[in-house]
Amino acid sequence: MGGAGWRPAPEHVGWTALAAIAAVLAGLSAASSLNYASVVVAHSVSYVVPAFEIAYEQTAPDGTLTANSTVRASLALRVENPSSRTLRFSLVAYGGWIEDWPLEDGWNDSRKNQDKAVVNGSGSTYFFPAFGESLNVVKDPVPPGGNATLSLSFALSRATDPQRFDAMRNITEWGAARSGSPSAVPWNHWVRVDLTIDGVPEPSSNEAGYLRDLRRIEFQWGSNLGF
Amino acid sequence: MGFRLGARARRWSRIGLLSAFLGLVLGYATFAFIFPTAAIPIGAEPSLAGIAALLFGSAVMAGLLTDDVYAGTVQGFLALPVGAAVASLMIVSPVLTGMVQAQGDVLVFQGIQFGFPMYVLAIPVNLLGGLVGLGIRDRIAPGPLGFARAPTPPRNHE
Repeated sequence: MGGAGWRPAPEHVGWTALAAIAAVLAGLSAASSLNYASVVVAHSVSYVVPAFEIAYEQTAPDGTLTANSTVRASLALRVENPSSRTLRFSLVAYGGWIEDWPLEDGWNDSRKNQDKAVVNGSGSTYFFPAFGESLNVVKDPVPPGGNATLSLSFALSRATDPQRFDAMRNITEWGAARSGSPSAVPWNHWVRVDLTIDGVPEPSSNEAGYLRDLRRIEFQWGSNLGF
Repeated sequence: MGFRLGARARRWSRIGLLSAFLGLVLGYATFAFIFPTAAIPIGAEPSLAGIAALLFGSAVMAGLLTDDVYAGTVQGFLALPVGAAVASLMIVSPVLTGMVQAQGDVLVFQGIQFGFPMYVLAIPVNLLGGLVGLGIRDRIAPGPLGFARAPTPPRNHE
């Protein structure tokens, strides 16, 4: 027995094991912090640059809408992503309201209950809700340090929504009479873009709303006047 | 006198090290409890069984290296502020990148608020795990200093 080799004391084994576990936990903590920081930074530094365009198609020679015309709202949503995380489009909601000049001029107040009033210093401005759309989007992701543009188009015609289209006709005709062109009538645009961060799973618990917020980046642009 | 101070210093440095270890475990567990989708390994929801097992296993491990019940109790409680500090550091890590503007104290407060169940859980787990570790240690190598005790020289039976 006297020739037995060196054996570490049990305490040394214990301290070595403790140091190893501590090192693993410190590594996991650092990795978790970096992962969490990159997610929060993605929330902070990414942004959306929206562009809106309203087109009146197949109009009469004077620019007013006919029964066969189409009002088309086109959106180009450019997402800039300076972060190190990949972002994915998830949901887009769009609202477009046209200023109701006939109502404001006292010529047609039939839409007073339907319109959305915006109170400002000099009085109220009324907007007619022409577009209200939301859709889930599947598109190529926004790469880290890059950008991506999502283009969408929504159409309003007599075939899709006769009541709303007739109101649009009335408003644009009044606009053409008052200012020479339907395009002179102001619009109010609002858009919401939801993006998800790759690598952050959907929380399974419905109660942890802040975890859903951690995964999802929500941008809003413009004033939502309601529908 | 010098020997007594040295022994006391060793005892408290051991308590400090084991408190730091338990605090590191508690801080990581708290972060994983609050942000399971951001903690590594990533999960869709906090694994309470996994977190409890981690806390208990670590407490047993610390108990194996603890001097006595008093030291184990002190460690169990000292681990709480250390754990809160570790979890807070992890939670404010985005602010430390300089790319996020947020009030660090608000984040720390929210971390303590959301992680409160972990801190409550850690007290009995640390104490119980420490006692279990001490019990195991006393079975393997009984005595006040346990593992650390120098081998006893064989008695002379003349």
